Amino acid sequence: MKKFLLLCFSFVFVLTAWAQERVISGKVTAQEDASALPGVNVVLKGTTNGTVTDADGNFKLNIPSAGGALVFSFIGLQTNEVVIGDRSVIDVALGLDIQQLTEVVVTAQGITRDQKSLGYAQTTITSTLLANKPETDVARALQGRTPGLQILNSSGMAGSSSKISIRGNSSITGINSPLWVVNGVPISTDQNDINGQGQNNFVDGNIAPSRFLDIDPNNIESISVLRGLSATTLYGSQGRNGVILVTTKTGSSKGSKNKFDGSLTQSYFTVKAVIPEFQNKWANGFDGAYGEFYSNWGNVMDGTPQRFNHPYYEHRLMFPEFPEFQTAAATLLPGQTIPGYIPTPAPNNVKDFFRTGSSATTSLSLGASSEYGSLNFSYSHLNETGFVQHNGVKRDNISLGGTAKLTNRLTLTNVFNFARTDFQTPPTAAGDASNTFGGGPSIFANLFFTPRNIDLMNWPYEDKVTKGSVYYRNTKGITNPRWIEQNARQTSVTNRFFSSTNFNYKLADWINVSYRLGLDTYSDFQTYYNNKSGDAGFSANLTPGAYRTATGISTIQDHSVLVNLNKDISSDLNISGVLGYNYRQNDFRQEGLESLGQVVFGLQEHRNFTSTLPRTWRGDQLNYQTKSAIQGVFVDANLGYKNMLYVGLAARNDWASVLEKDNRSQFYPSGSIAFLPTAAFPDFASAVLDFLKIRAAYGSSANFGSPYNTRPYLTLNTQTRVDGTGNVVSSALPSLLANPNLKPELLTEAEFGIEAGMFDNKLKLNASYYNRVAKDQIIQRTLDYSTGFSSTFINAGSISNKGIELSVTVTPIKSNNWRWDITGNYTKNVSKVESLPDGSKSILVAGFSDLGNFAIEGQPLNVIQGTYVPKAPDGQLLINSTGSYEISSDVAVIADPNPKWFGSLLTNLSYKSISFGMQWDYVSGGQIFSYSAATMVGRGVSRDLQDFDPTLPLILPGVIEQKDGSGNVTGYTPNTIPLTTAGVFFNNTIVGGSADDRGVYDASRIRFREVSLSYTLPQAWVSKLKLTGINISAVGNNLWFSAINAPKYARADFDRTASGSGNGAGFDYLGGPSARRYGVNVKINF
Amino acid sequence: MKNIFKKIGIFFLLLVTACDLDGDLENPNQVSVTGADVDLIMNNIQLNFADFFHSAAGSVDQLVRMQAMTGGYRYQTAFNPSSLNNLWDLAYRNVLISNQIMQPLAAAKGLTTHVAVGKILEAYTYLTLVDLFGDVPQAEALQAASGNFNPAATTGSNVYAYAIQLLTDARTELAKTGSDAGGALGRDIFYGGSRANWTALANSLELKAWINISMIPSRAAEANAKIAGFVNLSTGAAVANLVDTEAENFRYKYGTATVPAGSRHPWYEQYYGISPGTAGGYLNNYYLHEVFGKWDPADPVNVDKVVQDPRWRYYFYRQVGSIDVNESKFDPNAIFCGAPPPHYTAWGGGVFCVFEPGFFGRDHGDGSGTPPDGAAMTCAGAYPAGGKIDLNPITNLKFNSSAKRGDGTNGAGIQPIFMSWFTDFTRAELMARAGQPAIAKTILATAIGNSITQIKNIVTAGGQTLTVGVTASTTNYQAAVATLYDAASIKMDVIGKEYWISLFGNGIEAYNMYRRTSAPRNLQPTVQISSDPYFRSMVYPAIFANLNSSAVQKNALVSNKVFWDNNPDNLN
Repeated sequence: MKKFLLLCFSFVFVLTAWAQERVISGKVTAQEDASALPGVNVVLKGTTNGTVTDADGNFKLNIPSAGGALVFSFIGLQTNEVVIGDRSVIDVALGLDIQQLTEVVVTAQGITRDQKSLGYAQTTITSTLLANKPETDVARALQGRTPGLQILNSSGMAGSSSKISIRGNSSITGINSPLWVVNGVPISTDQNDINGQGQNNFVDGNIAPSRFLDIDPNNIESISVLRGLSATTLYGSQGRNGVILVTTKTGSSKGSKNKFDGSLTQSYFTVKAVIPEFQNKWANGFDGAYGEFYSNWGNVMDGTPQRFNHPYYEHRLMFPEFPEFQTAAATLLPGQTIPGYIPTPAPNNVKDFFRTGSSATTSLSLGASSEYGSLNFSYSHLNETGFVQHNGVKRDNISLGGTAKLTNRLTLTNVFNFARTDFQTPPTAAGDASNTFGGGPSIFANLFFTPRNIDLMNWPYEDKVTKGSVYYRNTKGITNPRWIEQNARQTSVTNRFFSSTNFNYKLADWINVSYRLGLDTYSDFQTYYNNKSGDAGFSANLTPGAYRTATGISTIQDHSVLVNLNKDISSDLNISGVLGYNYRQNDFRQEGLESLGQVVFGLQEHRNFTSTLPRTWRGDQLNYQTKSAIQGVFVDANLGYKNMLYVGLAARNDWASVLEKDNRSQFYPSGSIAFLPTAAFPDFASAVLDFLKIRAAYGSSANFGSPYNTRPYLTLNTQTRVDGTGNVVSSALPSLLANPNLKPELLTEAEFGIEAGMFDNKLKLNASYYNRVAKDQIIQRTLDYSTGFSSTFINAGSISNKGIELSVTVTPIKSNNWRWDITGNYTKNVSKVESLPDGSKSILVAGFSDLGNFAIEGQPLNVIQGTYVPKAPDGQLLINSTGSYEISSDVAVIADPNPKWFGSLLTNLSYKSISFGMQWDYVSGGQIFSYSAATMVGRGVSRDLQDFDPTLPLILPGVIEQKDGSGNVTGYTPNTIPLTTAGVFFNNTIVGGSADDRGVYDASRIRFREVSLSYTLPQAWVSKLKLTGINISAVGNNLWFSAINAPKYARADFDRTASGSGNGAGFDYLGGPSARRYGVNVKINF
Repeated sequence: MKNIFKKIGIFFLLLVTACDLDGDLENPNQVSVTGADVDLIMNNIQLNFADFFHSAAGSVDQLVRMQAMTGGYRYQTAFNPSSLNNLWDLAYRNVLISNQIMQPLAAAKGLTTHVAVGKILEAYTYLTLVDLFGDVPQAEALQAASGNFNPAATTGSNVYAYAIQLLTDARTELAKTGSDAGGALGRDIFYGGSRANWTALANSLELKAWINISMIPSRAAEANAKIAGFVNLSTGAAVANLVDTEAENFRYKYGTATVPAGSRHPWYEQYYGISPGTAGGYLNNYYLHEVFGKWDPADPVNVDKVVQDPRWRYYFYRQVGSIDVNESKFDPNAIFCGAPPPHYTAWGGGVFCVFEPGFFGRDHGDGSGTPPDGAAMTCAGAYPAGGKIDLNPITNLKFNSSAKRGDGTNGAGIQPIFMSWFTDFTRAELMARAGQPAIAKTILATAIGNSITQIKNIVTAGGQTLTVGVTASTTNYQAAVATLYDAASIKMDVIGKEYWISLFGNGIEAYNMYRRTSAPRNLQPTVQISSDPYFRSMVYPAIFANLNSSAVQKNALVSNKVFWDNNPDNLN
């Protein structure tokens, strides 16, 4: 019967075809990259007469003779209407309509939904916005692209870590970074650092990369950012900080559009450090007198000889080739012939420490498809060299993905990814303007305040015989930064394999069952070393030479079984849903050794050291294992009514292995509703208002904490010490205060939003308000040691984050050739510690008990407490009897690192195939405790000080307390005690030991984040080369920034955070400068 | 369709019940509590007790001018609350909590020595915490397991009472004999398991506590009665087993290993760098000056008129024989002495910045930056740091040699926690107080003699001896002290000063004595005049003040006396 009907239809078609008089043909291409577009609908306007384009984008359509117009349409692209006139060939280029509100988007668990049906905020970032980025770290490429995301970094060094937070931090001491899901499978984005003592301790610099560095940005098809809890419920507790869904090109279900296509991309970027600008007026010394200090408050460099030896005088015998080193102090004898050392500026001593780095990426992707399935392959190679020697990242990514229809009902989709990341850097431990405070070496801790007369780059840095450090301080108080650069190193080589395997079985048209296996395993081999003969300035444990190696092996298995339903119950009502089960197991094991006492200089092998232990000199164990598992059952149901009302309900129950049996289960529901008045009441829509959606959502999630917090144990140290009797003494110590009653914490969030399209979609608006509360938090509470313990995990406290996210896109110009888009993103997040455990003053989040981030009831999370300069009742600062600021003996809140708001402005102007884009970022408010800013001033090297004379006295503004005989304050008198310039700028800054609040700066900053110019070569030229497209672009990143209220020439970049990917905020400990990048990309499609 | 859902439902039920989530609760990396070993925990107590002692002594020895106070110009800025965190950590989170775990385990096994040693070390720790801070958590301390995260401080007198009870209980345990005594304490770093020596220590510590308590008028009678149980208050003779022989010296002995770090004496790590000339930290100039010998008060700069103390060559190592700024071995900028401040002239202590022959420490409260002077500073010597003895003559030799790792006994120093001569000086103090100056004088000579002999013995045992030309006479020194004693109007001033000189490495007893008796008087004032009062107790550690809601940080601008400090004197 069917066959009969088909025959009849064909007959009719043939008959009608004969009735036509004209044949129109042509080719449809993508405006974006001139590639052929298959499957585009081509319809004669006002009729049902139409066709679709073939694999090469070509179409042929018979039409009646009279006029008319053709309508070209395709999901995700702008619909184009072309008047036929008397043409017989019509070629059309269709532009992307990425913000089109009928976009199909990926949501939790890989479920694709129509954007307009979502009851919560969601942002999709497509490959065009991610490609061509000079940043090799995919996280940094997301900067400013969507509201709600704050992205900070530890420095501009190649491979340094990044920190993403979505809708603020919800957890005081737990993990706040979002979940990354690649092709439907969650992957590990931890930061392992054998030198950093875990995530929350930043003393050794947090230089180890976060493991999303293994993702190749070139292979990304799209990124979907789920911010709210109602969007992430299905991911369980791991989705509580938001989810970043990455679909790779090889894992894209779209498959290849053509039978075969490929692309080759080559990029090359230049990487430069942003460093301070210096004064070159006066020399090393103090109070206007020359001397070998760390500080630079010496004599004015006017050619006057000083009664001092040359800074390298003590090394003179070793370096006879430097006659100037022979200069001895002038004697007082009459008729002296040796004039003494004349300090002269070395203006580029710091600048020349840096080199120009580069970042080059080559990537190839190939794809093919047939009726049985598709196959995609991609390979990319990154070679980045940082702006200091021995810093770089090499990365190779190979990915193979494909879909095969095994039977009519069974489909297999599989993606394999292999990444090898090879990273190295000299150490960058946190510095406090006088070496490092954690005892590790750092190339940056003493670099930026190198005295202006010390010719760092032209004077030797190593002893010719011992290879030890040689520098100007003859007590060896500072190790030469160049020596550290050459003789100390951290490396990490990661081999990572992650894959997703998905079997999908179609039970019926409306129901299918799938099983998905995600496997993410990597081995990360890290080393740390410093050769012997470094000077003081870092721990005496390390100076005899140290070598540390550790291998971490991480395996995550993730099993999911999903039942998907999608059924139209009536023509108006559609129901879709998912029922799922998920089991996820994390295993991590690290094996490591540390050796101290190098025997032969320069050889980094454990056999070349006098002692080897399985822990670091600080006592941290290098060998450990953790194992945890979570299983969950979840359900998601969505009801759509007449394309105008959508209701979604979801719930999940998790069981976690990290908690005791009675406490390990947690149920959490969510629901959302979206209503489209413009669809419900067609009259509501007007020439002004095209589209309107009002949405509301409630979501919840849980957090189960980390393993091994519920049962007590003793820490063992089998080699605590060798005592005076020569015995090796072992000891055991009760450590963690276990809490067997630890329960899951519950997060809830209400979200409201509005989305609108106006003026023919030339103005689009997407706004959200959210209120998230994390109750009964699992807090690692730092305890007063008199409790007997240093910390415990408890359930207590509540944090709220309320915020507004706003995205406005204006398209002032939109014509065939011209298009101009301007997008503004605005994020405001207000965090508040609603309550703390009974009797808690404050909880230490990160840092130290007298200078760190704290949770304090009623205050925003992460406020900084430290010492401060007490004030008189009228607010004037108190001055002590020596003319310097008083210092409080207690600590108080001195800064709030949370920005008031932040936003980005993106603009893109395109003319035909040329497009020009810019991105500006602005952060308003927030405060930072910055050694980068304070040190440049405190040590007397910043150009900000050019106009001061180091010898002139200054008086600090403030008042001095007047007291009567019994010590009562009777009044205040203005300070009249003069200090030297150094006395003001050194002694009364944090560098010279003044109160901590002297180091706090307003972190407001503006940044020219990115500029790009892109050109797609005309198709006609490209075709001659048998190619399908060539695109060339030039991109600049981080070209200019200004911290508006900080010392101008210190060039401190407040996007950097000393806590790396940890929870701390608002601290800057001279971790390394940020980077400026610019270069070109060429992409060839074939 | 129903069938499909039923099948799916059963499948899910199987999945949820299939996975075992119970295997991951015990930490696989650490020892479980059921595997606790009393000997390992006792090791932890003993080692951390030694570190606690060092940390406590190191905090207060700046106040009594042994090491130089350089953290600031004033007491308030020199003592940063966070710098005391480590001391608090060692006391509570190591010594005390480990005791809380160890004592019941040991008692259950009848190990009386373990129990007694635990109690004695616990008592010393609490007594010292009170002496340093005043009121500290005790009754509510170490109760985190039952939910007390904010232990309130117990009054100092109650903590003292608790500590005295611990010592009493410890003696009861030590008095047990035969099978009641239980197994021996195999690894005893201090006394090799000698129950008699531990008993002597328990008695001496109790005596020490009662002497402090006796300063409170309302408790003087009670305290004196207790004191009489240890020392005959008429003759000054010991009437109980006290730490009064060389074998009973309560000291921790350091080793010489580079790894694990911390095996060497901490002062050695500080002064004897891997590269020569990298010494760090400063000794107080006034202490250097007073220990060097008995200066002629009329001529406090003339080296020739000094009756040298035999101990200075054990205590200190001078890297330079003379402060000569034209000497090229160290940076001429390293030693920069301006004119002494006017109030130093008024004070008349005879020392500012440097003094010959080649002594270079720092003055009290000199908070200025650190110049490159590591090659010139006077280092801690053989006693107690395990460094180098000073064999160089005091004639004007410009340069000796820089201190460096491996010198002396390579860091195998000691912590003089309670030495036998402490008991001698205590007896002298009691006799002076009891109006027996003649007996006190005799005991003082004994105390000085014992101190010199035993310090010499310790250094000699490490393989270093003074050569003939540089050995000062003990007899001459004792005679010089006797002369001063006879001339002194307040005898305690002389006893106190000699005790203070003998206490190098133990600032705790010196700090207690200074607050108790105001001796030694006329200590070097701070370089800058300040209206701040003397630290009659330390500020609380940051970890206590900032994280414990029951704690209130002290106002450093007023005098905060501990409970037994009844001394009206305005100390400086």
